[in-house]
Amino acid sequence: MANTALLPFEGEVLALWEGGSAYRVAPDSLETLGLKNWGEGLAHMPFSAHPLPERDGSYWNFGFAPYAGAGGTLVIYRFRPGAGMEAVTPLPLPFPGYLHDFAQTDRHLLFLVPPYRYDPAAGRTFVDRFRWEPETGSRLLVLDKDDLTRRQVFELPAGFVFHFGHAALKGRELRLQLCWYDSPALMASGMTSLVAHGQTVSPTHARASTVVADLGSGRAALETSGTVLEFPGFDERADPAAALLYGAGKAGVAGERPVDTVAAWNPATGAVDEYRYSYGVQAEEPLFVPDDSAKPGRGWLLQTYLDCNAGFTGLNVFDAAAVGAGPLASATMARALPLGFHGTFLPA
Amino acid sequence: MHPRYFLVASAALAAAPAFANQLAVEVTGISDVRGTLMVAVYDSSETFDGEGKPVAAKRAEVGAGTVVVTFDELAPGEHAVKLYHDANGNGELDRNMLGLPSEGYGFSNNGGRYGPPPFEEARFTVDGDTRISIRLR
Repeated sequence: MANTALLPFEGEVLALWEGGSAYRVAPDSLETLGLKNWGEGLAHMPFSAHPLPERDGSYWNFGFAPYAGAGGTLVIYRFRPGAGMEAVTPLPLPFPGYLHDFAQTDRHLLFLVPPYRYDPAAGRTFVDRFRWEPETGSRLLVLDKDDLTRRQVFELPAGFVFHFGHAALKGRELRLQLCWYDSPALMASGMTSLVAHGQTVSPTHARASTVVADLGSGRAALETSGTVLEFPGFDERADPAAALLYGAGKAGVAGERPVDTVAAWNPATGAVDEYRYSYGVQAEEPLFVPDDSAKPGRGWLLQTYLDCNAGFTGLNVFDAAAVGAGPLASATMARALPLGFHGTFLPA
Repeated sequence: MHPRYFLVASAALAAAPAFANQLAVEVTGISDVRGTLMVAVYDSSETFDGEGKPVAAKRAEVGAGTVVVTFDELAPGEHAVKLYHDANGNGELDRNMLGLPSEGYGFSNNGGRYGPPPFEEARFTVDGDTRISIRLR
């Protein structure tokens, strides 16, 4: 069940999903060690698969319980290696939504809340219970890290987001990178067909996009690009105003090709540096692994892929600064592995 | 037959009235081998869906693997079972900050994915010796 992402923590690995508590996993054997219970009243609390590292070594995470309260309850967690859970803050949401991931600046936690209403009467499964209400529009929710009850809400066009990149605050202007879908079709039907049939033809694609919000005026705008991109990542060391967004994409939106590229998108210029796999290869999440130079943007992208023609899984290593030059190194298995969601890099 | 065994057997027979209906509730999926299973049997939607009194209730020590809890002398007819695993022995079903159970629980017919099922969904018929299986959530 806990199969969405992994977080190395206190010598163990936390296997994360979002509906409930993470599971503790042994890093070498991947043996399940048990539920990660942070303390009294916290077992089985929703806990997202996308914790964010704070600069002081602690982590932020959230859990979203759409079934708790009118718009659902957003729970903010602050935890730290060696100290455990330091703060748990439940916040009732005044409007409906669905949340999978979030983003941050030094001062804020950022959520994109799509107009996706949880209605227990609407269906039998969790996913079937969400209703798309595009007339409401989406909202950018900005929480103050120092006082989580202080928030700002920005109106946006209706759209859906699973994953975020980096965010930068310059003066009063916030620029948030994210992978924007025009509808929740991938969650509404794509995941169901994935679970039922083991495959899905994506009915929609996410495009690398930027939300620009003026914290002074309370207005926000969406800037979408033509670059198809999902599973975003970035160099945490880099200046967020200049950092590239790495991800897996599609060479051209048209057609029903699988995800078949690794791409580095420059939000400032729109430039894309990409490597395209041959037909029949499905690319997965690229992981940015920094090198030892401490220079922002210097490092590698590790990307697994499934070669459907030859029937094997491979791993490519790219220079993050020269993705289009192709892999620096490759390794292949004698067999195929099932496609995954998110990975993590554990240095040997 | 050894006299002692004969005595035990006849005592058991004497305790069971004619036409007794025994319900055996098999509980599986126990991951935390501590504490007690609290099992309650209801015979109406009024008592099951509300906070009414069960027609029978038992507690059973938890062991590794499956636990079977039996109820004798139930009247024939529709019943529903709810149970929870009081792992820490505080006499109640613990809940997390959002009110969701943080200890194991279950219902007859294994509903309850999104909260307690109504009697309508949890009911089954006791008719003679009956055995049901409930997997802890």
